[in-house]
Parts: sequence; structure tokens; C-alpha cells
Amino acid sequence: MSILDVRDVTKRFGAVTAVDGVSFRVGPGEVVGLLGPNGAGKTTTLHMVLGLVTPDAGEVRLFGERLDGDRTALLGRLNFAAGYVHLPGVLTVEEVLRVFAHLYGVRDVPGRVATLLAQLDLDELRRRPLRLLSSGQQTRVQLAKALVNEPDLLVLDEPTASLDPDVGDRVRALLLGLARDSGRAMLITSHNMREIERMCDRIHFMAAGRVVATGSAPELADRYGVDDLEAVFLRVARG
Amino acid sequence: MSALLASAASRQRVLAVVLRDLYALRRSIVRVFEVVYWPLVELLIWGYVSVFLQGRRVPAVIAALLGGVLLWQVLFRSQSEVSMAFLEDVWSRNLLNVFASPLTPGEYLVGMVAFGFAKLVASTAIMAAIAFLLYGFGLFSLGPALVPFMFLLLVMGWALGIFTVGVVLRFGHSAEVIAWALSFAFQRSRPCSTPSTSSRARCRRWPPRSRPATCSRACER
Repeated sequence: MSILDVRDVTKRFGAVTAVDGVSFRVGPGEVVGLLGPNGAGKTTTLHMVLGLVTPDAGEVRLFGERLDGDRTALLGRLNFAAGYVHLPGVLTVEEVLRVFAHLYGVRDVPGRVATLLAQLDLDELRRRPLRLLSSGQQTRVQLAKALVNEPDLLVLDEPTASLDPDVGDRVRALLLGLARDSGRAMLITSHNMREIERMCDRIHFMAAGRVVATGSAPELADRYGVDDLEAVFLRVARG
Repeated sequence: MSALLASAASRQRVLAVVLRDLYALRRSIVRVFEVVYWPLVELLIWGYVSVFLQGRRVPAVIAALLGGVLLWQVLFRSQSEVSMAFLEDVWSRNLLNVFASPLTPGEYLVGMVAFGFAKLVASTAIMAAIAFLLYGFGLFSLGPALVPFMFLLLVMGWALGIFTVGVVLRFGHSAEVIAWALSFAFQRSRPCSTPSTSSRARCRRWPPRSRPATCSRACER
């Protein structure tokens, strides 16, 4: 059974068709990337997966169930982090994790928070308000929040955007470790081709709201007769 | 059993919203000011205006003005607590985290209303105590009708707050101004000292001891 099954979803905003008949699957333990130029429909697709946007046509199935069924139970099994979404800056790291642990119905809240603080090397920052943290530290808190419910599917929208190469590399290593150690499925969008090459088992290239190519990074490079994913991206983006 | 578990899970999510607001209140002196400082300033201004006017023998002015200020705070703050808690999520760019979680819109609203109510009770109690100590005005002297009257003000405030949230969700940042302005649209524009026939009739429907503070003696004439 697929963790996530996106079937022929379409979303229009007025006269603009943001997503046009997109289909893909994410299996257990798989890391799947959505790539494409700005405006390709990646974020809208992710928002449909998260139930934030309702598709005009098609359906999203999580763990075999339609998302418009028991939304609360299904959303409790996934989690989300994005470069453009922040957490309340006035709260401390520990408070943020405690609030989200309650939101996701975690049973042993203090235990889970302590585990995450240790796992993401946040112990020393636990009493510091988020607004006083650096971008890299805030990203680690975002990831801790995204792992608070030990999700079966982790949805990450440009998780390393705005991070410097050093911190970005550490975050990638952390995510890779999580994918390998826990066998957790991930759906990722990014504009960093090396990140996608390094992390994803399968990549769906989107352009103008459609999936235009699918495969692993080497398969895609072969198909387009280029050396790497960046060259594939340029081919797709420039038609 | 599953219904019980579901409701326990639901309570935990409501608790998360309340906790979030409580932590934010604890860590921000500005938010504490909202609970005590601004209502207190309003009370002092209108309290001293009342004392001044009473010295000029304007009848029933303490009850009219201080009762009005206290009850106005109930409406204004119950509306603003709901809309501000929501706007905090918009401003901190946390809204997607909230709505991508299992939290339902109903639980989100219940959490905001519950915390806002606790703040309102604290704020009103402090103001009522100060009004009594400084001006000898007892809020409960308005009589038993105070209870349903306050309840209706609360419900009205929450309804306006929820309406504000809806408008901001629909129209975006440009609609935020109504979070402050909406409840003022429901203020009486006509002073009670020159009452209309209909407002005079409305005031007379109340038993004399239970009349709201807004029904001054001028209304009775």
C-alpha cells in the first residue's frame, strides 16, 4: 500500500491552472522529490497533500484513505516543514515543541520533547525564544517540530532555503540520516539540485502545473543526455 | 470508547492552543499590558470624567459611564481576543503549521475563546475592583440582569471575532483593520442623554433596579 497516492489532481485559481492532472505515489520509506521552476505547481501540490487546498478534480489518498474523509486522523500521521513557514518567535524552543506535541496528540509529551531536543542538538537552546535563534537553529527547531509525532510521511517544502551551504549541508545530512534510520517516507521540494540528487529515490519534474518527467537522478540525466540534474532542470525549465 | 478517546484527543488539541497563548502571554510584557494597562487607562479616564460631571450634578453619570466602560470592554475584548489570537498566527507566519496539523477549525476557535475568556475574566475583575475602590461603583449593583446581558455581549464579541477571522482568511492582510474597528461599528452613536423614543421604550422594559448602565436617568425622562 502507498503512503501517499496523488491521483490526477487539478487546481485552478481563477483563470490560472496551477496544477493540471498531476499523479504520483510515495511508498513506505521512499524519498520522493518534486522539482520544477517557480510557478510549476509544486507548493500547490504539497498544500493539496496537506489538506490546505482542496483539489478541483482528482483525489489525494493518504495511507489508502481519502484525505477528505477522516482528515484529523490522517494528518496526525504526517508532518510538515517549509522554509517560508515560521514558528511563533516569542515562544522558547521547548515551549514550541510542547505545544505541537499536544497538537499532534503525543502521549508522553515531556519524554518526546526531551528526545527531540537531544536528537537535533537543541538541548542548550531549549529555553531560548525562537526569535533569538539563527536561521540554521530555527530550521533545526522546524525539523524537530516536524518529527514531533514520529510521522509516517514527512512533507518538506524547500527545507534548506535561505540556509548557508554549511548549515544546509548539515540539515541534509540530518534528513538523510532520518530517512535511512527510521525508514520514514519523505516528499521534498527544493531548488537545490545537489540536495535532490543526494536525497531522493525518485524525482518528478513539474512544469506549468504538469509532471513532465519522472525517474531517479541518473535515469533523468540519461534520458535528457546531460551530465547532472541541474542540466535536466535547465532543459525542462526552458522547454 | 473511540468517541471518548476522540474527545480526549480533541481536548488535548484545544489545550495546545490554550498553552500556546499562555506561553506567549507569559513571555510578552505587551500582552500583559493588553489585559490590564489599556482597560485601566480607559477606566481611569472615564472614572475621573464621571466624577467631574457628577460634581456638575449631571445625574447617574457614574453608573452610565463606568458601567458602560466595563460592559464595553466585555464586548470589545471578547471580539479582539479571538481575532488577535488568529492574527498572531498570521503575523508569525505559523498559520500553515496550525492548519496542516490535526487541529480542526472548531478546536482552534474553542482554544482561542477559552483563553480569551480567562483573560477577560481577569481583566474585568481587576477593573471592577478598581471602579469600586476609586469611584464606589459596584458592577453588581446593575442587578441580576447583568448576567444574561454580559453573556450576550460575550457571544456577540465572539461572533464578531469569528467573522473577523473569516474576512481576513478570505481577503488577506488588507482586511486586518476590521479586527480593531468592527466592534466600534456596534457602539451606540446616539448619546443616551438625548434618547430616541425607541431607546426610551427599550430602557423602560427593564425593571428599574436591573436597567443597564447605558439607560441613564435621561432615558427615563
